[in-house]
This record gives sequence, structure tokens and C-alpha cells, in this order.
Amino acid sequence: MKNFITMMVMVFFLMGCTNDFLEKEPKGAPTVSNFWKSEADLEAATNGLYLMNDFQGVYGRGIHLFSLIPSDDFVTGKPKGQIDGIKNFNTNSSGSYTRDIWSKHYVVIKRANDIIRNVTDLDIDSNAKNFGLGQAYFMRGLAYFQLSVIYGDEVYGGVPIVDESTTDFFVERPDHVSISYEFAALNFEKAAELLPYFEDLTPDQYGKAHKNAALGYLARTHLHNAQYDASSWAKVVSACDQVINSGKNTLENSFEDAFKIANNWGSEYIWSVPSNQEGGSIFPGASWEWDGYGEWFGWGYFNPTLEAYNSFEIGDIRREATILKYGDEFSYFGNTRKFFGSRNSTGFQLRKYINPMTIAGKGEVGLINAHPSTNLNVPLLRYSHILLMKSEALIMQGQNGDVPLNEVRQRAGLAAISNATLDNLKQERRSEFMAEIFGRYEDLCRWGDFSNIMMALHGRIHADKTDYASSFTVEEVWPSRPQFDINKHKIWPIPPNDISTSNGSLAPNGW
Amino acid sequence: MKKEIKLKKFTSFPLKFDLKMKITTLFMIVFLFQLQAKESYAQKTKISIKLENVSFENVLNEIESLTEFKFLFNYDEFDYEKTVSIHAKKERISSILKWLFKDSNMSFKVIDKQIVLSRNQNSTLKIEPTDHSSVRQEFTVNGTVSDSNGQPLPGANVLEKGTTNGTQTDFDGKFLLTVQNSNSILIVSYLGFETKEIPVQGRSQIKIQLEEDSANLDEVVIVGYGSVAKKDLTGAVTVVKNITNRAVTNTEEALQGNAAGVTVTSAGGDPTGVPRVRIRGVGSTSDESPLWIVDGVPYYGGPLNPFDIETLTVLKDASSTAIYGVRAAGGVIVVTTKKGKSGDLVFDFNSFTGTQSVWNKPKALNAAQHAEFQNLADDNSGTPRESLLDGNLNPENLISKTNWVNEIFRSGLIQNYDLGIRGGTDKYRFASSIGFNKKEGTLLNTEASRISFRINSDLKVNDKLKIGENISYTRTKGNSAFTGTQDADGEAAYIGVISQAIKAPTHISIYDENGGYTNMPDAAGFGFTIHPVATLNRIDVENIQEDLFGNIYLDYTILDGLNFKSSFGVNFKKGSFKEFSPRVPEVARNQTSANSLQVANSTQTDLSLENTITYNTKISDKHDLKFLGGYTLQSFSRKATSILGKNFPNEADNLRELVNATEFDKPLSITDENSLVSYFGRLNYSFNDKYLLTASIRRDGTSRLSSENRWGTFPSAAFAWKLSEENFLKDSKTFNSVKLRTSWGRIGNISSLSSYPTDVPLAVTRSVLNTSSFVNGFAEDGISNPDIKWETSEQANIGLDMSLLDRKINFTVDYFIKDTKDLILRLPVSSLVGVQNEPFVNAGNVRNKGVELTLSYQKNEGDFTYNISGNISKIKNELVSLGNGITEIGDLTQVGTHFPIQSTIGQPLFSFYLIETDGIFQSDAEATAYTAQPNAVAGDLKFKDNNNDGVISDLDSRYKGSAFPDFTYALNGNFNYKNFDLSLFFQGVTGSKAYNGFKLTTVYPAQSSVAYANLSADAIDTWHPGNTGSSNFRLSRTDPNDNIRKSDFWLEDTSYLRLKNITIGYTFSKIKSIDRLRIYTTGQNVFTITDYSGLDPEVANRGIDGGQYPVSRVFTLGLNLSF
Repeated sequence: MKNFITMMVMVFFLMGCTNDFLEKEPKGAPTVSNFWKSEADLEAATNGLYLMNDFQGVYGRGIHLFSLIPSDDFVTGKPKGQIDGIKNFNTNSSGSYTRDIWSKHYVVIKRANDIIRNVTDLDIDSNAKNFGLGQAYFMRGLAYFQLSVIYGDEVYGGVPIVDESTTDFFVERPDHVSISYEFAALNFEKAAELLPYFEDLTPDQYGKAHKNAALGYLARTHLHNAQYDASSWAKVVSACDQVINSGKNTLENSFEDAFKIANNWGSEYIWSVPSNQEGGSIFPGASWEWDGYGEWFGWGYFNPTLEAYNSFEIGDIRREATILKYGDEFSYFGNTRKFFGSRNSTGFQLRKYINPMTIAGKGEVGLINAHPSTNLNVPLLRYSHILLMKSEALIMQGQNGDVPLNEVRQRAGLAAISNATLDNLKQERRSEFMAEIFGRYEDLCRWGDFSNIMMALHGRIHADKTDYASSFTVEEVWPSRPQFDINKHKIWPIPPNDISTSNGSLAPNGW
Repeated sequence: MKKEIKLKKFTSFPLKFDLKMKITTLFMIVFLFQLQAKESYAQKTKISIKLENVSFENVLNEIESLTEFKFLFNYDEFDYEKTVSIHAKKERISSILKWLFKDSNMSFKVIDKQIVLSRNQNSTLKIEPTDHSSVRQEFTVNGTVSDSNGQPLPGANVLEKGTTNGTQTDFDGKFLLTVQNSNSILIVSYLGFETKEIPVQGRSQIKIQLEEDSANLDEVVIVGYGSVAKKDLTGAVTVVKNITNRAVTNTEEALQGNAAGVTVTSAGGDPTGVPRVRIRGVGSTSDESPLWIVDGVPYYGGPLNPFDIETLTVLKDASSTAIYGVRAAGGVIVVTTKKGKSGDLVFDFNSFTGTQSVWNKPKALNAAQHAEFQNLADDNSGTPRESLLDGNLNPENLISKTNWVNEIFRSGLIQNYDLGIRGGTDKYRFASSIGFNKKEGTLLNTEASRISFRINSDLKVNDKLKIGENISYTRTKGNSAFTGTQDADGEAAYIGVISQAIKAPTHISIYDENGGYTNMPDAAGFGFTIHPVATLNRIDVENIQEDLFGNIYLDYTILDGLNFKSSFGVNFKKGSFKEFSPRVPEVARNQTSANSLQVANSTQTDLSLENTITYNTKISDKHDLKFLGGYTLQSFSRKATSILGKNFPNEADNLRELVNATEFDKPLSITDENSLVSYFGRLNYSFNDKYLLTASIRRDGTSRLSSENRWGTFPSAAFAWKLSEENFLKDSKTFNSVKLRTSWGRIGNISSLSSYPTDVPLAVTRSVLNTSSFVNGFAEDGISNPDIKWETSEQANIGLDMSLLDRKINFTVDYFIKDTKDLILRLPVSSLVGVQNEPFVNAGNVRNKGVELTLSYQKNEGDFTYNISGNISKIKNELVSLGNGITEIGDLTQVGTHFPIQSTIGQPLFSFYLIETDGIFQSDAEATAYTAQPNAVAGDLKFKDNNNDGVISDLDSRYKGSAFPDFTYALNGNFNYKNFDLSLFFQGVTGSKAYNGFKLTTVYPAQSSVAYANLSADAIDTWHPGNTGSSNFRLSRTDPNDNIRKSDFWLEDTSYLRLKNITIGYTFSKIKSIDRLRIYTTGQNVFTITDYSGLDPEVANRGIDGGQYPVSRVFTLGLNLSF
């Protein structure tokens, strides 16, 4: 017993070591204080840059809704309050489909800033370091570019710039969106210096940034900035030339091939949303026929208008490659089927991203109705973008833009044009980039073609929606939108939650 | 040291004192009482004492200091100054006393640890033999004394009325007393019970039952680190009674309505759910659960089996809880479990079985109504009718085949069995129990079961040392169904199975011709839902939680009044979760061709070591002092791993194991550790038994904060004044006791903090790149805050306890103000920071103010006895301030696309912030005249343009209250007539609100993703020209007026009054060896009075009702058996 008491008394006085007892070092995942030491850390950090790929609030819904729906090419395929609001310029961006675009971009920026801040002076292998830093600059540039297109203009300003040295995050918007475009361009330039060409990447690095992606987006950034600063046109040409002259990219032989799983990393690829059966861009499913005829999933969100169908030049093979109309044959998981859509609102359906659904066995399409991605990478920047950007920049500078334009036309089965005008270029861009983001709607705004935005839109309403052979009448499917105001609606509202947490540094932009 | 021993207490004791005896010749020994107790203190206590020529008084003082005996005598009749010498070595007290009083005419009587000295009435006294059998008396009574449950009461006093003749019961509650004649009257008393007078009436065998005296102020209340007589309480403390006599399946349920100031929100009918307990409001935006202390050790274990609970005390004010410091800011619930008793083995068996069913099932339209009202919606908006809902074209679509609501609900079986065994010897005592509880949920394929096991034992090593342990094991298992209306994208719900059962079209069958689940028709005409029955039947969850809780303690008496206690406790929790998600082949909203198995295992080990020293002393008779000092070390660690296996070629039941998965996601693991060191001290001081003071101080150090901010010091003080001891009330017949209490205290709280707020671990990222699965990485996704410090909760309390009219009426009222300062919360940061986990900051103050009132009345005479008690509390909550210039915090609690909750300065936390409605436009003209709503027509809602800017927008929103009730009240009635007992328990709240998201997502077709789905039967009562009296706006396809927007239209009052429980029991008179047999029947949630139109007015989830698992009506038949 005495021993027991002695022991307890000892325990009682074992209190000297409480400070050690109260020191708990976090176990498991690393913390800021012990990370940023090695190449492996850098690789782990760069993997985190690509979070938007799988986030349907950015690619699939998100930007796709802001960029495609308000144009004259699409109407919402089924009644959806949030999407209808976008179409009608009556939204505050608080809907779940779009409210995270702004904040997710700043998550990318934060992760890029962390890499730039922590790795620039880190003593590791210089190739690994350059590749890591290059990715960070590229993704930061991409985030600022996309944010600038969606939220920035000359009236409400650019998007707030936070970089690796920012400590006070209540940053106001720069006066003009050019400032944020210039910042994006700066990042792409740095990225282009640091990054290897795509062909130098190993397959496990595919999907990560590479030199031509940086140059391509550099061109694209200047293209959008050129509406405010004409001196940008020359920079577009210069950047495009660097891509073209690298000789690393060519157009796929046929237009359709650019949207095939087999060519996810093909010669036309510059940048895309890598996707697989479990993750990536849901756009192929979100735009597919509602419920996929009971065989797969489809959300029926995006129906092409009659205006879109009719916009193609005669003989343009891209029309049938882009759009299905009633009665068009297609292979559906190995079986031939003719198109009809029981819930279709225009008589047309996107065909551009159909490749995963044509392959028998359903081995290329997503598994979950709630996330209908496929094995098709959804292109964001193709070689044809480079060609048409160069062409537009030349034309806008009063030079001849025929060569790059005709390269695109030729593949579309169209005759070459000489002394192409801006109108020729506009026609070409619409046909080439239909159903790709930062295409039609942003172009109409850049060019000032507001009547196209405001006019009523039409479709072919078939007598029996479920009969592909039934007759149709052309009907208005969306009334004209006189409420469109270029001073407001060129850009989209910053989500209210992001304004409310900004401590007054952000304000609603006009909506 | 001069000790004045008060006689006052004994004036009521039926002893006749002759006050005129000459003191020099008084001493005699008359041994009147022979204790039958096998293990009485008097018998086993041996004293060595050596005193020369000291006064009697000194001798008695010395004995008091050496033992726990206290002497009681009348100074007038005892020559206490007479000197005496005494030499004794390891002698029993009786021998010493015998010798001491051998020449006097004083007699002594040992009653437990009290020794009463009195003068003999009989002038011809002689030394009586110690064997009572030789005492010549006329009639011998053999009896037992038990409590109302038939539990024997050892040590009860049995006295013959009008004499000093008496005895105590032994450890089987038995006594043998020889009385003067067969008409004598016995007076039976026991601490905490009503004293009874029993006429012998010639019976030689008498069974006596004592009723518990709830008003008895000598009742001992278990508080932090010890116990205190209820009369000496200084803090706001509620003792919860009646835990097991109403067939509750968990302890939280037993708390509901039983303690003023304690808000318990039922988890609905979810069999795996545990009700939410909040004491005195919510002070924090994060979790603020009370701290549970079981047998003196912090308890984070599994559900406590109510059967094992001996006492349950709720500590509410800061002075009561402060001694527990950190984690106690949400109040403390102190539980002691049943301990063994020496004597024969006692078996207790409790069992009940019953069924539960939903008392308020939602109703859906039938197929014909589905078409009728969807067509009405189209007609109202001028959109073409859906051809599939045209009875002429598709008559089969208008014929109901399946009532989905009926198909998903069933009546569930409830079973409960508890067996307890208690017993022991004078050295070793134990109590053990085993319990089994199984509940089938009212939704298909949902259930929960619990096995619990406990053993408590203690060993008395010697008079100074006691060692004991409490060990319990609990295993719970269960699965429930998701019934809410939120999905990951915030899209209008399509997962919540109850709302889906409303929306599913009724013209299809459950199964197709091949016996598979029917395809749900696609959007055209029928919306697009999940298959409700398939979804429930597919649930394949094995969720096992095991809790092992044990503590071993040692109690050592160093000196009289000085005690050392050491306790080591372990909480070990193991969770194994396995969920198989099969393919969903039928066409449905949740169709998938993927399957997966998630296996997650977690262990949590909490260790605590606690050492305390207590010292009790009296300075003269007026100053009563108790000191407590101690320290605790606690460490917490949690490890969890999770593996997701995918792509199972075969889904057969026996192949749903990880080994059959063909692909895996990267496994995840979490390790979490933190530790806590605390020092504390407390002083209880009582002056003249009239003024009571409690003061405590505690210093806590935690690993979660940086070394600069680690330590916090938290004081408290309480003062109570027993007015009834003052002269002006002392003799009052009306006021038996009156006590005024006041307290103040400060407590630290860090329960909302993660383990590493100062050095946040990186997040695991998951990106899609060039592989078929996800590529992982790390990213800083949170912000460390090295400056984070203690949140403190400061509480002031003033209270009054009163007992009136022979203690028939008891009344307690408390008023408190509780301020939570430096509130720890995740403060939203600018989105430009780019993190998805907001940092912890100290920001803001929250104030809770409240009044609590408890009133009871009891009648304890005759065959019909009863007690009625009620309590009511009102709590007002306000967010007083926030930091960083922020004025509001949005809340992500959501239903459909609505986020109705916001926490804003000046408002209660989690207030509803909504656009206000002002009725329905009865005519198009009225609507047109209201220019703020250009698209409105007759039947649309009118919204208030509160800011007069000509448009209706979020800027017109106003605060509309919160889910927290204004008043919470309960009424308890227990009635006994002979062998019958009846108890009724009503409970209710007023002023609480809920956002009826179930209505939002089931009544109106304009909720986008369910466009043509079936509707709730409430769609019938919507506004149309033939039903202009309706307060529900019109059905519409396009809803141009946006009636469906976030507004107070969806907000409803959820005040309710509910008959929670009615129990009727019958206790059989003694049957042979069975001590007690009671059968009873119980009804729960028998009826509810409420205006709330949703499924159930008890809405959890901050008042957002997404169609939660509805509360069940339960009927059970039960049995209590002791033998």
C-alpha cells in the first residue's frame, strides 16, 4: 500500500513537464512550416493548381453558362431558373451554378502565389523549378485572363490583383480591365520563358502547362485587350507567330478529329480541360439530350438555335459536325440512331462533343448522372484559335490576314478568301468556335454587334417531338432581349458573397 | 478548541430528556441499542486513545477528531466538565463509551455515525446486557424497510414512538425490534425520504415502504468534484429525475422538458439520431454542446444507457461549471452511474417493447390530381399543357398505381432489455448491467441498435483507502436515410427521400414486369426523381461505433477531513464505417453505372489523469470550510483512415468487400492530437449555516493555442443567503426555506477550434489531369492564426429557491446573463485570399439572457399521492458584435436554392433574413397598381418594398426571428393510487420559427428541376379564382412574379404543445421472492397541438425544414422486475 501511495504522490508531482505535454506538432499532412522543401513538395503544390478542371461551377456550368447562353447561338434547353436568368440578363450570380467562379479563380491565384513566393529562391533542380514556376505563372495568368473577360471592363475596372507579395487582401479593382489583362500577359510571358514545349512533357505531365499554351493565352489576352488598346494587336500577332513558328502544332485533318478522345493530346491541342469518366468537364453531358435516351445521362442545358444552324456557309462541313437536327443519323454507343429530342426546345442538338457517346460499350462516358463527364478533354484553346487570332489581328491592323484564315477555311471544306474582311473573320470565328467558351458572346461584345444579342431567337418546333420524321414549324423560342445594355451586360456580376466579405473594397458592377 | 454541539437538530427527535439531574452521579451505561448492521461504522471502528485527567468534553472532542463520530447532547443534563482518564488500545467505540459512562445515568445511542447522549428516564438504571435478546419487552416486530421501488433501505432508523427504543435496518433493509406492546407505533425515517409512522397493530411481520421526499432539503446533489446538500447549493443546478420510468431509449430524450433552461431538440424519427442538448442558449456560432461528466470523468463516449444512471445533474451557471473550466462553457451534465450495495444480490430487469409509426405522414396528389394541378400551373402561366398529362391522349397516366409515401414508411419495432445485478460484501461492492436496444426506423431499411455493458465496483482496502473502477462498453450500429433537400450543388433537392416520394409519379408501379425497379419517367410530364423504394432498399451501411470508457480511482483519507483522490480515465472510441453504393440501373435522377465501397476506420483515445485534495473543517460551529485543490492532465488523439474501392464486377452481398474492388482512390488519413492541463481550486465557506460562499479559480493550458496564449485563468464566485434561517422567517409556517443565490464566473472555451489553428495542415488536393483517376497534391487551403486565444464565457446568475407549506410547494427561479466574448469563429475572409477554409479568429460577443422557473406541488398522504411539476424558461439571444468591421455572417444552411439564415449584429444568431410578404393580390388590377412587382397578377404574392426603391430585392429583407424558442416549457404529473401509477408529460415551445423548405420543394412546380413532378396534396389549397380565400399563392409554370423567392412566406411559427409521454403502471404486491414487479404501458408523442404545416414542429438544422425524418408516435409495453 505504501508503494501505491508513494507512486500516486509521485504522479502528483510529475507536473513539471506540462509544457512538453502541451506541445503538439501536427501529424499527417505537412503544414506551412515544414512544407516547401523539395522537388516533391513543388510537384504536389503544382498539382493543386488545376482544381478548376473538375469543378463544374467553372467548366461545364459556370463559365459555359455565362459564355454560351447569352449569345444568339443557344437557348436553355429546359426551364432552369438560374440559366433563364443569365439568358435574360437578370441574375446576381448568386446561383449555385455561377457563384463560385470568382472565388475558385482566386484559389488558383493563391496557390500560384504560394509557389512563386516559396520556390523562387529554393535550391532545387533548375528544370523542376522552372517547370513548377512556369506552371504557377501560367495558371495565375489564366485565372486573371478568365476573370478579366468575365468581370472586367473599362467602366467598373479590372479584377483586383493579388500577387506573391500581397499581404492586405482588401484590394480594390484597378481602374481599367487593361491593367489586369496586362498583368495576365506578364504572367504568360514569364511562363513561356520557363515552360518546356508539350512534346517535352512525359505523359504523366500531360494536362500541365507548356510553352505554347502560355504563348497562345498571351495572344488571347492581347486579343481581348485590343478592344481597349489597339497596340495589343501587334502583340497578338507576335505571340501567335511564336506558336506557329515553333512548328509544334497543326490542325487535325478533319474538324471532327479535334473533338475526339484519340486526339485529346493531338497536334491541335494547346489547352483543354482534361477529363475522364469520373471527373473533368461535364459539358459533353450537360449539353447532351436530356436523359440520353435512357442509355446515358444528359442534362439538355444547351440547345443550338436556328440562327446558329443557319449561320454556317453553304458547304461548311463544320455545320453537321457541330449540330444535330431532327433525323440526322449518329452512332449512339455503337448503334445507329436518328436524332429527336423529347425535351428539346429548338429542334437542334450539339453534336460537337458526341465522340464519347458514339463508342460502343459506354467505356468512354461518365458513370454518374450527377457528374456526366467523359473521357473527352474539352478544348479551351486549339491551334485554330491561334490562326484566327492572328488573322483578326492582321486585319485589324489593316494588313492581310488571309493565310491563317484560309488554313482554317480549307479544313472546313470552304474555298479560300482573298483580302478577307473583318466580317469574313467574324463568320469564321462563329463557325469554328461555336459551343466553345470565350467565343461568340464575348466576340459580339468586342465587335459591338449588339443587334445579334438582342434579336429574337428561333427553332424548329416539330409536330411530334419524339418523331424524328415529323414536320416542323419555325417558331420563336426566345423573345428579343431589348434589356441588353452593353455598358452593363458585357460583364457579369461579382457574386454577392464575395462583395460582402470584401470590407467595401469591391462593389456591385452595375447589375 | 471549544466545540458547541447543537441540540437544535434533535429537538424533534422523540427522546424525553429530564433536565434536572445532578451531574456528579450521572454516569451509567445503558446499552439500549444493539446495531444489527453487519458492517456498521461503530462496529468496525477501533480507537486507541490515552488521556489523563481531561474533561469529558475533551474526550468527546478527541473521539470526534479521530473518527467520523459526532456527539449530540444537551449541555444542561451532562456534566461535560468532569475530568476523567482513559486508556484504550484498539477498542470499539461501544466498549469505550460503555466504560466512560459506566458510572453515570447517561445512556448513549449510536445512530450511524452520530452518538446521542441522553439521561436515562429510568431512575433505577442498571447496566443492560449488550445482547438485546435479554431485554425484557413484550412484543417483537420483524420488518423490512424499502423504497417505493422495493429497493431495501439499509440503515433506516426505526424508533418506537414515545421511547428511545429503536434500531437501524441491516443491509437487507431488515430490522428486529422488541416494543412495549403490540399497539406501539413505529417511526421510520431515512435520509431523503418522508418519515412514516406505522402502528404495529399486533403484526409481528411488517413491510414498510418509504416514499422519496423530493422536497427534502437534505437531498444530496452531485456537483463538480463532490456533492453538496441541496440546501447548501449556491449555483443554478437542476437535478433531473424520473429518468427510466418512461421508456426512453437515450439519455438526451430523458432530459427533454425535465430541466428549466435546457433546450433539447429531438432528432426527429431518425433511429440513429441523438437529440441536441443546449444549456442556456447558444453562445457561439459553432458547436456548443454541454460537457458530460460521468462518475467524475469527462465523457466523450457513446450513448449512455439511461438504465445505468443513478443521478443526473445539470450545472447551468458559471460558478457551478467553472471548476470544469474549458469545455464547460456550454454547461455541464454530471452523471453518476449505479453503484453496488453490500448485501444480497439484487437483480433488476427492465424491458419494453413497442411499435413506432409516423404521426403525420405527408400526402401527395394522386395521378389524376397530379395532371389537374400541373395543368392548372400551365393554364395559370399561359404555357401549353403537357400532353402526357392529357387524360384524353394518355388516360393510363391518370391512374394511380403507387402511393409512394405509404410505400416508404412502415411501422417499426422497438425493443429494449436491461438487466442489472448489484451486490457486494462489506469490503467489495459491485454493480453490473447489460442492455440491448433495437429500433426499426419508420422509413424502410433504417434501424439502430445498441448493446451496452457496464461494471462498477469498489474495494475498501481499509478505513482510509478505497479503490474502485467504472467500466462501460457500448456498441451502436445503425443506418438512416437522407431526408433533407440539399444536394452538393445546391440545386433543388432530388436526394431527400421523403420529398422524392411526394414528387415521384404515381401512375407507375414499384417494380417492372421483370421484377426490377421501374424506370422513373423522364422529365416530360413527370419531373425526374429518384426511385424512393429502391433508394431506401439499396442502403447498405454498416456503421459501428464502439466505446470503451473506464476509470480507476483511489480515494485516500489522509487525516480526518483531508482526502486525496486520484482518478485515471480512458475514453476509447472506435468507428468502423462501411458503405456500399451499388449501381443504380433504373432510369432515375441518381442513375449510375459506377459502384463503390467506402471503408473508414477511426479510433479516438482520450486519456485523463486527475488528482484532487479536499479538506473539510469547521471553525467553531459557525464556520464550515471546504477546500478543493487539484489538477488534471488530458490528452486527445484521433486517427482515421478512409479507403474508397471502386468498380466491383459483382455486387453480390458477400462480395461487397474491398478485396473485390478493381480500382482505388488514394486512401486518406487524419491524425489529430491535442492536450490540456488544468489546475484548480475551490473554497466553500458557510457561516452559521446561513451565508454560503463558493469561490473557485481554474487555470487551463491547451496545446491548441500558441505558447503565448496557451494559458487562461478563469475565476468564479457564488453567494447564497438562507433567508429562512433569519429570525424574521425562522418561525414562519408558510416558508419552510427560502434561499437567495447569486453567482458570477468566467469560463474559457476552445471547443470550436481545430487542433492546429496556429499551424494549419495543408489540404489534400484532387485534380483531373492525364489519368483515369484523380491526381493528388497539397495546397495551403487555410490560414494559420498564431494570435488566436481563449474564447471566454462570462455568466452572472441570480436565483431564489423556496419551499412553502410543509414543503408541499417548491419553487426555483433564476435569471442569468451569459456573455460569450472573443467568440471563436471562422470569420469569412476576402475571397481574394484564395482559401476555402476560413481562419479561426476571436471576433465578436454574443449575449444570452434568460429566466428559468420551476414549480412543483406534491401530496404525499393517503392512498392517492401525486406530484405535479412544471418548468418554463425564456432565453433571448443576441449577436452583440463582430470583428474586422464585419456586420454579418452568412450561413450555408440551405434548402432548395434558398439560404434564409444570417447572423447579424443586433439580432439573434442564425436569424431568418427574408423579404416580407403582404398577402396575395386578389385581382389583376390590384397587382397592376403595385408597381414594384411589374409581373404580378391575381394570385401572386405581394412583397413589401421596405426600402421604397420601387423594386423588390434582397435589400428589402428584414429579420424575422430564429429557430430558437422564446419559451420552452414542460409539465409533469405523477399520480399514484394504491398500486397504480400514472404519469403525464407535456412539453412545448413558443416563438420558434422554421423555414418550411418541404413546402418550397413539394408544393410549387416552379422549382426548376422538378418541373412536372408530382406535388404535395397542399397544392390543392392554392389560390385560383375558385379558391380566393387561400393564403397560398397560385400555381404557375413560369412564376414571372418569382413568388418562390426567399421570403417570409415560407417561414412559419413552430410553437407546439405535445403530450410527449403518458405512462400507466401497476405494481404488484409482493409475490414470493420477487421484490418488485411493475408493468406499464407508455405512449410517446401521443398528440401535438401546433399550427405548423410541415411534417413536425421540432425542426433541427437551425430551423430549416427540408422534410426531415418525422417524429414517431410510439406505444410500448414495459416491465420492471426486481428480485
